[in-house]
Amino acid sequence: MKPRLLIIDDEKSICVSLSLALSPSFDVTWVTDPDEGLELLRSQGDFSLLILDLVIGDRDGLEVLQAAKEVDSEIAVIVMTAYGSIRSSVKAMKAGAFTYLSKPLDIEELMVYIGQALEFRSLNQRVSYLSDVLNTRDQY
Amino acid sequence: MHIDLLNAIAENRGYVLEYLPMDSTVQCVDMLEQGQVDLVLGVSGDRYTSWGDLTDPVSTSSLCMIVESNRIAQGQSKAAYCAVFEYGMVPYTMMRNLGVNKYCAVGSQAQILEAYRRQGADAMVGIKDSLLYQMEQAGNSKEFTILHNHLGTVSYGVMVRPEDRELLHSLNNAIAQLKASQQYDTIYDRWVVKEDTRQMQSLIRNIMRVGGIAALAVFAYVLLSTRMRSVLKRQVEAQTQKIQAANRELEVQFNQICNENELRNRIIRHSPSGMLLCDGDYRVTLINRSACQMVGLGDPAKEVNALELPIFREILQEVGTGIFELGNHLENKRITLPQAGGELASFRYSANQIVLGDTVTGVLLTVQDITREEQEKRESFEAEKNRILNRIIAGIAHEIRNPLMSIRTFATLIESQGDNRQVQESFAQYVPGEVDRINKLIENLIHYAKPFKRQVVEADVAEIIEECAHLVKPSLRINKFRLELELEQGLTIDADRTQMMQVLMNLMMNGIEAMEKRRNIQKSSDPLTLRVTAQERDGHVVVRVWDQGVGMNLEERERCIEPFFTTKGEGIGLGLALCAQYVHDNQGSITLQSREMEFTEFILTFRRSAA
Repeated sequence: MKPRLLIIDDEKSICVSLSLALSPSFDVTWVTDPDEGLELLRSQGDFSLLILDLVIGDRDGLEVLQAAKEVDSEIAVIVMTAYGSIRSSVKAMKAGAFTYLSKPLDIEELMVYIGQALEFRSLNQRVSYLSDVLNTRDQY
Repeated sequence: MHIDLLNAIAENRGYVLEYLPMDSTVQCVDMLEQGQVDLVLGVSGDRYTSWGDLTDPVSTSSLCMIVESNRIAQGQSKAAYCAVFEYGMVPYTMMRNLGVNKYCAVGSQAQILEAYRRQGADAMVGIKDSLLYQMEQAGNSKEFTILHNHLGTVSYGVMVRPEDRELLHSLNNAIAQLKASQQYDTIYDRWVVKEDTRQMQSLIRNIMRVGGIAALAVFAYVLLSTRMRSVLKRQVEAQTQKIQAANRELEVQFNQICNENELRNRIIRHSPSGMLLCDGDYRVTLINRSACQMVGLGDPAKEVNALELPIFREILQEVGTGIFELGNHLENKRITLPQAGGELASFRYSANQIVLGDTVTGVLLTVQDITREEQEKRESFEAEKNRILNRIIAGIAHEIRNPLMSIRTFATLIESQGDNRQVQESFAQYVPGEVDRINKLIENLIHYAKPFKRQVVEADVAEIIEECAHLVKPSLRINKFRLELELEQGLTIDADRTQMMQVLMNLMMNGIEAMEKRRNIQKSSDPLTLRVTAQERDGHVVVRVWDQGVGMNLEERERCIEPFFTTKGEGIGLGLALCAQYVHDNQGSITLQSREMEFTEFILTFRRSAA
């Protein structure tokens, strides 16, 4: 079963091209409306990774990132932007992004980052699981 | 008089006299007869000879008739008179002949005038000298006129008793001696008012009266003259002071005019602008140093024709002879002329008429070489444009990344999944659009950044605004500002497209900067809006650029269009000044309204192109 990916970007051509490039390896869903994306996260809840544009129309991508993390704290998020700056990257990382990429992205590089992000997510989940197990043992 | 004469006789003979005045001669002679007195003085005629003897006449006088002057004036000289006379002095027959039908007899001459007054008579008949003397003494001699002058002669003597023969003889001798002496004349002249003397006195009185009046008139004249002279003097002094004040003022004005004239001449002489004054035949009557340098004329005093001087010749040819027609003035015209080296030079000129009455006597040409000024303006324009361009490019550089990413991803897909039909279809659907998007951005950028060369065309306002909006969108997007466009389509103006684009880009970028400032001040992420509208109003196109930035205070509103006025840390403060100039260059107007921390709106108005 392929991991599920959600792409949120107001540029439809980017959504389509990324979707086509990533679909052989992932189950990709894309939306251009951030609110719709958040709703999908809430309703379906099985997305492993979110690729999020930092400037979505007049919406702030950081706000969307924070909202997504509130819905699913374990979801891995890769932030991408055409208006990259150190300041915005720091903000994104602080808000819980796995990494921060400047457009235009290199697909191979993106695939690497996606792999790392999923592994990171998986490790996090495992650490969390083991932590829960240990906590349970300690209780008995 | 008789008393004076008798006193003189008594003094000469050693008599001692005591006088007893009586009312009438009759009383006197009675007293003589009774021996109460020794002498009776002033007895005339032979009526009293039975009482005594008369001496030789002491005095002789004539009888006259005197009436009121009024009666003579009223023509009553022939009327019947009521006359006063001394009893026994005038025969009644004479009285009747004189027209006297009523009589009033008195005792002596001295009583005639008093009786005349008392009885209401209208004539007096008596001794002329006595009557005149009485009237003279009463001061009313002018009221009477002598109607008959010589009615007869009357002699007066001294009566003594008949038996006093020796006294009579002595008195006669004394009278004869007195008459022979000067003393008699002296006494006579003292008492008897002679006619010529009377006339002389009257004349003297008249002369004195006239003289008095004349003196009074002269005095009044002198007084009046003095008064008038005094008033006139004061008035003259006041007028003099006024004239002196006016003179001083004139002097000041004259000096001022001289100074101003001198100043004007100096200004003309040393003005950096070339100034040339020529008459209707283009003869140069004045040329300053700058003009000489401009045209390479060595001697300004040399007689020269303006059409022989370069620059001025071209200007005069361009303005034509119409400049000598009354009322034709030219201000701030511009001309570009090729120079010796082949490069172009620009000049700004004004032509002002010198008018005398209704005749244009000459034209003053003022010429400034603005080649350097225009060069500097171009450089300023370029600097300002570059500043805006840098910001636009920063935005565009990011903006290009989005379509670039799509293209790059599709390119990767072609390589790996080129035979995938969905990839092929998506490639065909999206890539050309993304390329066009990049191309449009670059095109607009080139359009904006291309070197300035003024060219007036029929420019579509909505099209220009949309191009500008396209360029500023990335900057808006970075800041998450909203852009609202309300553009009436089909509105065109006759304008230079590049200048219009420069104006709109400046205003829109200023709006974005103002909104950035507001956001930084308010620390709020509320969406702010930049709105650009274009509408037709009464044959004009009105473009409004409205932003929700920090706005302007009063000073900023008043001064923002001044060159080099800036509230930004960056920039040289030429943006709005250039905007205003470009708007004016294209026959438009620019106004603004603003409220601090609320909004700023620039309103550009242009005449719509003719259909």
